[in-house]
Amino acid sequence: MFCSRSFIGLLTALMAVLLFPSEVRALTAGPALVDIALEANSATTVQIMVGNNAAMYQTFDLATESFISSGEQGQPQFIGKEGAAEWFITDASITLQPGENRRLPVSVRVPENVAPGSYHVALFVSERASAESGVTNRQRIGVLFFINVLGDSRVEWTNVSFTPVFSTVSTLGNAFDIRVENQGTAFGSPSGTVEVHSVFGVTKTVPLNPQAVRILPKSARSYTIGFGDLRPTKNIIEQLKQEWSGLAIGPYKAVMRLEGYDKPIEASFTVVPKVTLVLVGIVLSVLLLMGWWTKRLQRAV
Amino acid sequence: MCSLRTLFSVVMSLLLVASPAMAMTSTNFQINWDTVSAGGADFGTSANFVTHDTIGGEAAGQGSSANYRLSAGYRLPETANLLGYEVRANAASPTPTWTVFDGVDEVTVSSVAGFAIGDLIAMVENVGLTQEVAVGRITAINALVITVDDFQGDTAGISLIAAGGDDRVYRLSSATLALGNVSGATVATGIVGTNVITSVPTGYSLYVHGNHLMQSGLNTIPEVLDGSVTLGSEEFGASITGPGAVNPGTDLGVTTTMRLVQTNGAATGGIGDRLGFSYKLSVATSTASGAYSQDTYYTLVANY
Repeated sequence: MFCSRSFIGLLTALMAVLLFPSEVRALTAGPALVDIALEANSATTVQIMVGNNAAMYQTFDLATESFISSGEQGQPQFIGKEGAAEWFITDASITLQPGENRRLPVSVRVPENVAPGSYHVALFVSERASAESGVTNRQRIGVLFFINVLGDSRVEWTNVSFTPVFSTVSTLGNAFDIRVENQGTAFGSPSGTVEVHSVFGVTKTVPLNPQAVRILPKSARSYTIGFGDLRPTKNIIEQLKQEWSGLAIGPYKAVMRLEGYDKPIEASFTVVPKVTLVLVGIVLSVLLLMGWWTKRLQRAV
Repeated sequence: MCSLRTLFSVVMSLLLVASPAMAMTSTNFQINWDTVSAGGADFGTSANFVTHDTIGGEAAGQGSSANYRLSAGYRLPETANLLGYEVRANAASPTPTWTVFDGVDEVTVSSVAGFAIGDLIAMVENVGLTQEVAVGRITAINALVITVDDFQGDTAGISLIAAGGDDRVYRLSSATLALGNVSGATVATGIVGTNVITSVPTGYSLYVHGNHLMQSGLNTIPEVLDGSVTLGSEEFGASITGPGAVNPGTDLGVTTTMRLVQTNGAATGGIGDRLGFSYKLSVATSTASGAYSQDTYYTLVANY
């Protein structure tokens, strides 16, 4: 979906959110993900931006909840106002005028004797409820904070898997399903590369984690990366163009190198440019047929 | 699967829009934003972690004129990983019928009065418990033809020539979904549309929950449990449709427990990801009369 739409459209929409809020009527907040690193018994203040893009004054209540990992897709499970959620100091509520974007200071104080490692908290910005009848829709955005309490913490990758999505492709490109577990005490973001080798050597190197996915302690994360043109084609001409844009043939090997994990993982796939091969086959057949016909004509003469 | 070139272009373009100082990364650390011009700092960190230093920041703040609004200055890149969305219920009017749908982005209605370019609308076929819904934003109105940027939802299931018993186009502009009066012989339905736009590369998840069940004083209407709101049964729930919808087409209750309704593992396109909620309320003859209500929270968070 992402690729099928023009990124110019995305820019336009985001600029509309930022510059023409009354046209968009949305609640906005950013950054959506905030990293903080602190010693125990220290504090810091960060700022988040909250935008009221409605055409009326709106009051938003602020509240925090700790979260843990839910599943392997980077989705949080909120567990209430406990633990690190108590470290936050913010206004209880803010009222924004129509179209106003406001930077909101958020202070975090880590208590003494907190064990090193990462702690994860969502700051919710919630449209204030009212006493209307019917179903009243309330907007609520959660900004996710990743607080790393410095000290003897670690990221420990285990049970890493690396699998090509396609065993056979028609152009030099593929996608890879990656799964990594973190048995450490702090969240981590995998870094490294995927090298694609032909029989002649390395032909392509792509980053292992271009989206900067994070993996919380004692949890796993699955995600997919890709390279090359993998878009579905509508006809044989498009297919041919795609094949020629990344023309390759034969067996390939992809090697995943994850920093902090000493064992590279290999996966194999094969490139078979089907339409190109058929076309070449037809051309060769025609040439052979012409050659045979020419010889036959010469014999006849 | 996206090509890396496209992904890179989009991410870089987003950074150019939202960040006067480009984000910097290495294998050991990342700097989401970094402004250096005069003096001062708020916090910094060591390797493996993020630095958010800001020095200077003159001319910070907001500006506006009749035609634009600008947020500029101190650490603007708070907007670099932006989450934005809107939630709108169908208004009581306009609700014209529609006759022709081109299957993509155009619908012919009986009247365009009350609609304007920029409105979020829902096209509904066969209003009722089995209705089909598509949500789009109006980009043009010509005579009786409304054009939207993109209809998302049940576009494949909606007839090109209206075939339902009651086929309507709703303007989604209300904060409250008024379901009207319901008796044991009728049901009430309504539409809520959401539209999520985000530049977060890991995408987003949208959840829904209520402050309580549909309630009037001490009386409540239970959430639907069997996947389908049925005429004559006392139950309330909603089905959803749209890209990334979780359990689309199944009537599910809105309880005090957050339920994932939509997710996407990448940044959205410029139009955004829409979701059409078909809320359905049915009562039994034994249902206590009263004005029932529920605050429904739509919680949007980034995936990490």
